[in-house]
Amino acid sequence: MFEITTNHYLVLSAMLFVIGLVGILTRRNMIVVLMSIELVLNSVNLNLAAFSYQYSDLTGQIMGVFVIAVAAGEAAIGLAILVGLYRLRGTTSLDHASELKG
Amino acid sequence: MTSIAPQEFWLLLPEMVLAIFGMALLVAGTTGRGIGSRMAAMASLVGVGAATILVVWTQGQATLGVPILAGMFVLDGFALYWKVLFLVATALTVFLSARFIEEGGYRAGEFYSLLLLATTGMMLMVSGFNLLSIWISLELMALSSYILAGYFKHEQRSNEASLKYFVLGALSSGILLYGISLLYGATSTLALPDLSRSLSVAVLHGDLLSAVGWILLAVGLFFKVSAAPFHVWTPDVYVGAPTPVTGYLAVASKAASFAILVRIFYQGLAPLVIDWQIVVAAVATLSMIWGNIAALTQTNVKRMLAYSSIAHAGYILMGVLAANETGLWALMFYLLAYSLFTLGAFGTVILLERREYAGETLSDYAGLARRAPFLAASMLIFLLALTGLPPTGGFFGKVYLFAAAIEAGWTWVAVVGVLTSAISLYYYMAVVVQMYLKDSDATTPIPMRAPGLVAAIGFCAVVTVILGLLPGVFVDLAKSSILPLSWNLL
Repeated sequence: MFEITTNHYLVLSAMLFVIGLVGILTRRNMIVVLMSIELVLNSVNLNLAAFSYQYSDLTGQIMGVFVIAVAAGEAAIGLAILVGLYRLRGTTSLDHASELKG
Repeated sequence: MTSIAPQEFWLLLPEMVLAIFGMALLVAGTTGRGIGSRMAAMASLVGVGAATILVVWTQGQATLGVPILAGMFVLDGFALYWKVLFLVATALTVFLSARFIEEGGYRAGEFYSLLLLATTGMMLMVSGFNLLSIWISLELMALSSYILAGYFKHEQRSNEASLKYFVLGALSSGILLYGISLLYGATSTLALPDLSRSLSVAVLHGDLLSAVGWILLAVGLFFKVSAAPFHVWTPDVYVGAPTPVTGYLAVASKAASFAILVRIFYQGLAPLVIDWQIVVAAVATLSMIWGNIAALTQTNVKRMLAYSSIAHAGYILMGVLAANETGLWALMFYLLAYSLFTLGAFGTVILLERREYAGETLSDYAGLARRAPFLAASMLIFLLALTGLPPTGGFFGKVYLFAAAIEAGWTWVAVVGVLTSAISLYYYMAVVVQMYLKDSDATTPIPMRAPGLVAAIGFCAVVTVILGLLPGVFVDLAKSSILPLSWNLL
């Protein structure tokens, strides 16, 4: 019988994390970037829940609840900044935010 | 399961008071026609003052170094030192922003509200003794800073700064958080002392989980202190954000991130000291070289100060690298001095800015010595301190940091520090040359409006010189504040 262990969750979460990272770094549309940020944070949640289950220790799940709450706040702020961008330039593409050269 | 005594909550009174002031300002700023700029500035100064008194008072009430609230927070001399430093930096930022906000024409309530909430986050963070509480406070600081950077919402540059800060900040906090989750997996705890205990066992087994975990955690922290190669956001955010916010980010935010970096590395990751010293040495060297060389070609003063801030992150990391007592108090002393002369330098830029973004280029400083002797003299002091020349606090700060690195056997990093400091002389002195040796077309004296701003610049200049003349007093202060601690490394 195939058994799902903590390692399986770790692999899944690592995949989600990498997809999220690549999305944040390469996508040019701010909405997609926000979605990628959520992916990264949820990969963390998956890790925390898996370890929490493995150790029968609630700390990880408590942390997970906090991560969900902060992720909501972060999304709200990201969208607020995005609304500002849209009002100024009429687009949600990051390519148009290029006045400052880094 | 540890139980929590209700009276323990009183020990967080200063943070609560500051948060209440922040939220009250937010409400006052959004109802009706909003709160007046001067009124909001006064209210936030009252809040900061009350919090300062309460910080000192609660410190007397607590048993030093004993974790409170089920191990979430700790009140010790280290936390007290930083909290007072953040509150002073916040008060100075209020003085720097008052006129700026008034002339910007944006509502004042939100600005001061966010400033106070970010400071609340920093104060909770340095007290944090558990990765959970540390991360939440870090987010409180970061989320407030994202909005502050975009405070001039009708300015494209401000919005862009806020956007870049948000995307890269969210990326860094995601990486940091992933590191925390792996460390939790390796040790089944988030409390710093337990983490350290479990890691000393894990190290013996060459545990991969904890190794990846601490590296990701460290990367997240390096982002926050803007050390190379994790500094890409710094120049754009510093240039685009309203100048008082830039000053606040460069000083308070950086000091807070360094404080927590030290707390985590010295108290949580202590068993891994051999490993993280190598990483810190590499990052410090890279920051010093990259920051100083990139600053050479800048003609925008804010951008130059941004690269100089990256270089300074490198110098300060030397205190972390040393992993000894000298390194710890040298870092604390340097960040005190750095806060004052950096805020002073940004204050001078603010005073010169006539409209929102004018007065930033190097040529705007031409003939300043004749047009505004006081301003030129203060800027000279700040630039000398940034270079690390006597008689300023910057000189002794650098000497102590280099000494700490040499004491710990990292002589080559100290050598890089000295060499890159010599390079930095070139671009700092370019401003001095403009101020004292070049003539400008305009010869009319620059009006010294905003007495609060001028007073704040004067205060920074005077204290920078005092730090250079009597460093012993402040070194003793830093030393005594790390004494009652059970630092795992010392």
